[in-house]
Amino acid sequence: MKILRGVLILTLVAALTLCSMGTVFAKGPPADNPGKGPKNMGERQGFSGNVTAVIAGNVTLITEQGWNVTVTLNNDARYKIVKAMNKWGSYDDFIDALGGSLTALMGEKVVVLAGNVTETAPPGTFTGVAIKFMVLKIPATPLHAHRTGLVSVFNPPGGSIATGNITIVDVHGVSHLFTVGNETIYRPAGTEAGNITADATLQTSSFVTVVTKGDPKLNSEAKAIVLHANRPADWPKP
Amino acid sequence: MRKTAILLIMLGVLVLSMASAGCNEKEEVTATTPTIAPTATQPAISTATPKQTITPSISPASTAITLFLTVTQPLDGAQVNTNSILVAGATSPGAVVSVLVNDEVMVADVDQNGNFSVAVSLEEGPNFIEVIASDQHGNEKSTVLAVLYVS
Repeated sequence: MKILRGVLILTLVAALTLCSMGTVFAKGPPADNPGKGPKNMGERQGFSGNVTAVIAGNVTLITEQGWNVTVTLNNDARYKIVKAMNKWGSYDDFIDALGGSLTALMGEKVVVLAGNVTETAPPGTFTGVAIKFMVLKIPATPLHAHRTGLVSVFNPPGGSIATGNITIVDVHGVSHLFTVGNETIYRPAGTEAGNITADATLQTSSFVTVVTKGDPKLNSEAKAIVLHANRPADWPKP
Repeated sequence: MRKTAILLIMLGVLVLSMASAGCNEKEEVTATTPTIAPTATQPAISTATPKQTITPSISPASTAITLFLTVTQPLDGAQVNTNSILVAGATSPGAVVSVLVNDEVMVADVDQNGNFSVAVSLEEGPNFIEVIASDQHGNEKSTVLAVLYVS
């Protein structure tokens, strides 16, 4: 009888213990610490979105998640406008590039690294101070370019010549001239390992793609020259 | 005495079943109630829209060529915590793919199926990435995306 009573008491204790554990699990994370949000507040945070308001030195953007983020722009931050500012610049450079006013940012897509980020009411509203602020004015023309054709002239740099040049003729018969520096990369197309040796492999009538920065019409520098194994069968003969 | 014991056992079983029912009920609440609030760091990657550019075109050359370019990673607007990432995607077999990141131009490896990848270095904060693919007829496709590196 004593054994039976003991078993019964143990059963009751186990049941009550299990139930209380279930209650703890059912609550989930504490209400004041959802996910990682508040833990990261005050640290650096990144946001991207479109500008919806510009008030004094504060820019508000709405992110793809639907958050409203207001960042303060000041002299301590660094600024960049894709294509308009090649390098990160000062606040003054930034204002000049915008034409004199931050209101030019309205509707623009921006990406910002902000510090001192805090979440305010209502949920999903953040404020912070810009550390780096980039405006994505998507360029109508890419920042770099390819030109594919047959090599008609190739003067590699070497010896006392620091800058050489290469001229290719494209499918339309148009010639393109590029400078070639010591940092120009030569490589085969595809995934073949390693770079090629320009002097030995690249020659007149080679079929190549030149990768260049800037406007390829302006005698720009060849950043890379990709050598194709063959040219297409329907390519015009040189 | 035996009757008392039987009554105690029945009482115990009843309490046990009630407790079990209570636990199950609360677990259901947990499963149906969202408890994770939006945070600044989580959705930047998980909800970013994949940047996909698939734009067939007719070559100005005599042969009709369909060049396409799809960047599968990183996602536009993604936030990462490492300064080196892989830019990868797919293009037409035989195409040349280059990636410009922070003033540096790199040529990607492109396999026989047109899958490409190249490792690029990021600087802290916003990074602008431009990807260009071109075929042997001079057709060109490009796409741009932004990636945030937060150390």
